[in-house]
Amino acid sequence: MNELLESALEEAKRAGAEYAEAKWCDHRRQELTARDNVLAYMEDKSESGVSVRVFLDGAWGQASSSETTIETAASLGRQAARIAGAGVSAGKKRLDLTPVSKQKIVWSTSLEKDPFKVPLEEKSGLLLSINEAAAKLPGISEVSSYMMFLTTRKKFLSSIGSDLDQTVVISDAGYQAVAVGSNRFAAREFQGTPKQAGYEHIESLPLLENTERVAEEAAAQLTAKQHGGDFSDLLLLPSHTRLIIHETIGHALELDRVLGWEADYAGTSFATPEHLETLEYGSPILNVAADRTYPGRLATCAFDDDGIPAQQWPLIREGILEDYATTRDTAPIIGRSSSRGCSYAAKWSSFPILRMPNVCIEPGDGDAPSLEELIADTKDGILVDGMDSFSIDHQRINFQFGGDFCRRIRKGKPAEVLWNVVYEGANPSFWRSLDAVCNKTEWRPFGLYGCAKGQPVQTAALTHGSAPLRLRNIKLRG
Amino acid sequence: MTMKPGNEDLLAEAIEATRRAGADDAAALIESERSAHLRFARNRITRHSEMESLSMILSVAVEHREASISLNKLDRKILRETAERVVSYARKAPRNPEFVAPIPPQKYKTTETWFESSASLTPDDRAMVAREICELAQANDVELFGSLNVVDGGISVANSAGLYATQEFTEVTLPVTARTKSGKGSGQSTESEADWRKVDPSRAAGKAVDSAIRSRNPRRIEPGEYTVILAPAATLEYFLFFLMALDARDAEEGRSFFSNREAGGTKIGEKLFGDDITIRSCFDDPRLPCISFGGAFGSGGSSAGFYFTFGLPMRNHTWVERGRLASLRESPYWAVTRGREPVGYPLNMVMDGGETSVEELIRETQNGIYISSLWYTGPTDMNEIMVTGLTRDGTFLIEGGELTDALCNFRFNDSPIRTLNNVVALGKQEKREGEFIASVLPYLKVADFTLTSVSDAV
Repeated sequence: MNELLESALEEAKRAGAEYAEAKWCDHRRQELTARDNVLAYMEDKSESGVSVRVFLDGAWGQASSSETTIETAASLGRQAARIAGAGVSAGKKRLDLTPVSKQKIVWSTSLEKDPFKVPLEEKSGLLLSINEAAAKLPGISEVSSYMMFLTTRKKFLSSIGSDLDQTVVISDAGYQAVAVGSNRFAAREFQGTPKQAGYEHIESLPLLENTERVAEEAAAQLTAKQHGGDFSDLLLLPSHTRLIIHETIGHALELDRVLGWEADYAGTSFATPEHLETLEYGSPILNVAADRTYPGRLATCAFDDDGIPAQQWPLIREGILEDYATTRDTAPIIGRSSSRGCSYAAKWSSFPILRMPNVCIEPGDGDAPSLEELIADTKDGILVDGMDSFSIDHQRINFQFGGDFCRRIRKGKPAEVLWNVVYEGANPSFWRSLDAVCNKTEWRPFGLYGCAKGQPVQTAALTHGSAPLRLRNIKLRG
Repeated sequence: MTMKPGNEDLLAEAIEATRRAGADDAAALIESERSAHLRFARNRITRHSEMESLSMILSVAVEHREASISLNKLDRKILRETAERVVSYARKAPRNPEFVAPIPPQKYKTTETWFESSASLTPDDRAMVAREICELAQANDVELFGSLNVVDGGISVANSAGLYATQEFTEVTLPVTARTKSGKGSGQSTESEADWRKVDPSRAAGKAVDSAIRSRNPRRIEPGEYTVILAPAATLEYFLFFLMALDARDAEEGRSFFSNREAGGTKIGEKLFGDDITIRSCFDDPRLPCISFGGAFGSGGSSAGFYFTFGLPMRNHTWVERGRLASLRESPYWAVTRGREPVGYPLNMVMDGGETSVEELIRETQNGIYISSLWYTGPTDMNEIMVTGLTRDGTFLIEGGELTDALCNFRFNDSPIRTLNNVVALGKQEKREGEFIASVLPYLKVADFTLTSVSDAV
């Protein structure tokens, strides 16, 4: 493969490239979905290809093909330079890049059991057993369960001599039970947490152990009432906070959005550079870190798709906005001399764009409460578990989110189940109402994949983590 | 570039290889794509790329046990190995109680979906388009953001019952957002055509620039229930969830707004809206060029069953006829178990409109709000098809029959069911390509649309 990629680089340089990268990617994705007693979806998808990206006089050009011959790779090198050249002739404003240094590494996700070697019948058997167990509960109309395994190998060579060989493996499983009553239908999910890991991750998930609880909680919502009030304190579990961290912090601090580069599709951000080191993003107990190094998390790697080493850095410190996620071509625009290494291409043919790293809220200090203590300290509130509906404006200010399963807290104790809790908030006042972050024993990471961005759309995977949080006096819908 | 589908021999070889490996039933689908994507932001090109790919999905059944594999390497040796692997997967799968067999050969109407004008665009052509519209924005002291996307693709399908179909297509989309340099005004416009000759980049940029300038310095008014005029771009993002809810199996089993909770079954035949509401998916609308074959979508059956029945002739399909629920979406399995033929229809939405121009709709409105587009829409309760989202890229106050002030954006929480019952007037139709489906929708004047909070996003 090196010979093929080197021939692409050679041709790109000959065609005038100041800098060039040649990449071969091999993706495999296996998905199984069972609905009731039917294995409704079983697809094993493999795809690979070569892409060459060229930087020439302040413009990028990229060409990709699923044909992986030396001849094709060489022609991609020439074509990428031609495309970059077209940008040069058409554009008055040029891009700058932060420096990149020569690197060599072979890196992969640490795993015990290759998920693609686990027999299909074992996987489908587990899914059908989950469905059978959950469907036994009264009122359950439909149960669907899934497993997904993804592996991506990227071999990256650049014109400065970098040679990076990275393999990521992700495993995930979960399920949903839908109950039907006389007035409504209601769903409850076992929301798994996708992880960079092998099949051992699936074996560690309490899937069958929770079928009864999940089905009961679906059925319990059939007769549940809405909260009825206009405002409430919210206790958000980490299964839910991944959603709000993602939408209200992670995306808001992507520098390409801040600069307006995503204005036509994914939107921009209210957190513009003049707010750095001054904006009170949240209360002083809000500490948010970005990270691409921690093993097992979905955005973890050794190098990004610009060839920049993975890093960890603070985004929000004691409530104050400190930094962004950046790439080689966005960082110079705000005067930065180095990139934070957040470039990512979803597929062999994708143009690398800025993607969110793993973004986590740090746990409270040694005196911070446990979840039990936080509930006991709450006179009247709502305990929100899991993700449901979500919507946020294109500058990450006004948002509305829902929980998958919610209970009222009355006089410091969990009370009745609530129907369809949906709350509204706005940045930064929402995070300024954060008054408690539980301690580190309650801290949990939750992965997300399928985050869509770019034109054409690319999806990315990443992990968010937090301890349970309490936010005061949040507006409720309905 | 030579990656084109239509290789009947290759498909036949794939089917034959699965048979030799022991498959009872098989389907093979080849997709080709040669595409180019140019992005621009703040009046400069930020990314420009091309790609070409050829991929195949191979689905098989052995005694109603099914599996599918997809790959993008298609030489004969790999095909043979893949056929053996997919059959071995199928043998290990549980028997599918919702199995449907491959459909026999079909007859198709010819449609024109491929245009040389689009397929022949070069990197220099694309870059010049970006340059020209960015210069137009520059001249108006406005910044432009967007992309030019060109796809030259094809799709071919064959199955073990003898079906074969193939068609090539082109698509060009040019979405453009204009923002004032102050960041206080924003407008958007999209051109989308199969034939590049019908795309007018200056028209798209001009509309976006006008809207950006007009929407500067928005005024904040209280949220509440307002008479609104929804532009087709707004309606598409909102009504998408209505279309998603039209599933026959979910409705029959109680998991849908369209379930009849009193009598059982579904609401098919019920009068849900006024006589002027008719909604279809259209195969023969010249504004929405469609491939002449496809699949039947819906809950029930399996993914292999979907591929076994892929190649159904596209037809027009009516969802709501003069206010009455006419039909629901059915998977091939669900249709067959109900004694009906599976029906293929394009993934688009066409709603009947009127003869009134948008200018007249505005003139006939004393007090109201004009909504150019909606963003980040999502369901909050599918029992009532309740949807939330936000206005974006041009929200204006209507006073005394005129657009007056630009307004701050709003979050809305409402239901397409309620909205379709509150339609006061239907305007002329307009084509709109959405993220997920294409559409031809009318401008709608709607009473009591529920705006729940103000968004400061511009």
